[in-house]
Amino acid sequence: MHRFSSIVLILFLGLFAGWFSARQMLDRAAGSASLPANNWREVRISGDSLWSSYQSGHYLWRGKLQPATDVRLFRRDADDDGNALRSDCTTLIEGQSPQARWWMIGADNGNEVKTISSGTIIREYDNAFTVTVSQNAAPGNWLGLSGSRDYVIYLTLNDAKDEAAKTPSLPRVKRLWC
Amino acid sequence: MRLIFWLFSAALIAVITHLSYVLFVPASNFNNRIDAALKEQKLNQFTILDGKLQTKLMPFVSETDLVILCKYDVSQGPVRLSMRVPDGYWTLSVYTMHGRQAYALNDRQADARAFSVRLVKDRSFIEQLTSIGDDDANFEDIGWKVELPEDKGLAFLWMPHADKWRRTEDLAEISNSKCEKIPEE
Repeated sequence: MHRFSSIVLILFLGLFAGWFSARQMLDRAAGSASLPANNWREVRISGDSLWSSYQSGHYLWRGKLQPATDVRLFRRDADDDGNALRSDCTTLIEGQSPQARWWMIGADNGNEVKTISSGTIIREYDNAFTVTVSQNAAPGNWLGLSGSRDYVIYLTLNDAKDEAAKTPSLPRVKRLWC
Repeated sequence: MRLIFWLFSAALIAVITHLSYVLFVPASNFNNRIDAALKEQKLNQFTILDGKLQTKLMPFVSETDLVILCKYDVSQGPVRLSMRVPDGYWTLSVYTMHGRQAYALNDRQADARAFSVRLVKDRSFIEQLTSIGDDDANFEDIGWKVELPEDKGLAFLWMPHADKWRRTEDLAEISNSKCEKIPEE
């Protein structure tokens, strides 16, 4: 009887530890980053390694394919001052158009995703742009998120031009008011 | 000594559970979602995704973009993607069912508006040794060949668009693309 209960306990512990560690690693797999510039983090999409199983699993678990390996993906969950991004605040994203054939800025609060791309964004004469993220409509480029949840901002660069792609100039993110 | 044995057993079960979960559960979850979302789609056939669906399945794709998708299966023989594409930026990606990108091609690399990509099952080491010389002797197409580590997966062409009107124009041309099993000779 003692041996039977030991087997059940060991089995349960092993299964739980394996399941829990797998979930934790899959959750964190997309956050692997290496560019601590103004709170932006670059997510490296690995092609063929053990880590790529975790990365692809991270997206597959959410019902999506992982981004293509030729896409440069940046994300952040805080503004330039380190405040968490909240959709009940008004936040300004401003910067220069990245050197890429196609790029996209998105805001994702887990419930809804709003995006604006290089094809639709309104630019200044010097290629600068500003995007407002808020609940209420704003003039110019606007990403409207409802609720008061935390969100992440991401930037994708498709087919980025080689020279500029090494050190892309990433937009600044400022909280205007809450 | 007995305690070490039990701890080792628990660790072994944990490692097996961990790897099994990471390798199989997310892929199975995704396959279920794909099957539910594309109930009508047959294997080896292109489908044009509607805007809402493509944002659910693909990361960082907007509703105005154009996505055509083929669920391929090379277990019964090679599959050919015969592509017809308009001018402009696009990428063709081939993923395995475990979510790994096996191949990518964009407009600059292809430098053509009509081309084909042949998807074949990766050969085993023995098959490679026994078939030296007759690899592509019967392949008449001018195009690319992709050897896949898994039988099934997804191939899709993504073309970003700023507005839905341009999407409609390009749709007419892209819808002439075909995903089909290459007939046996």
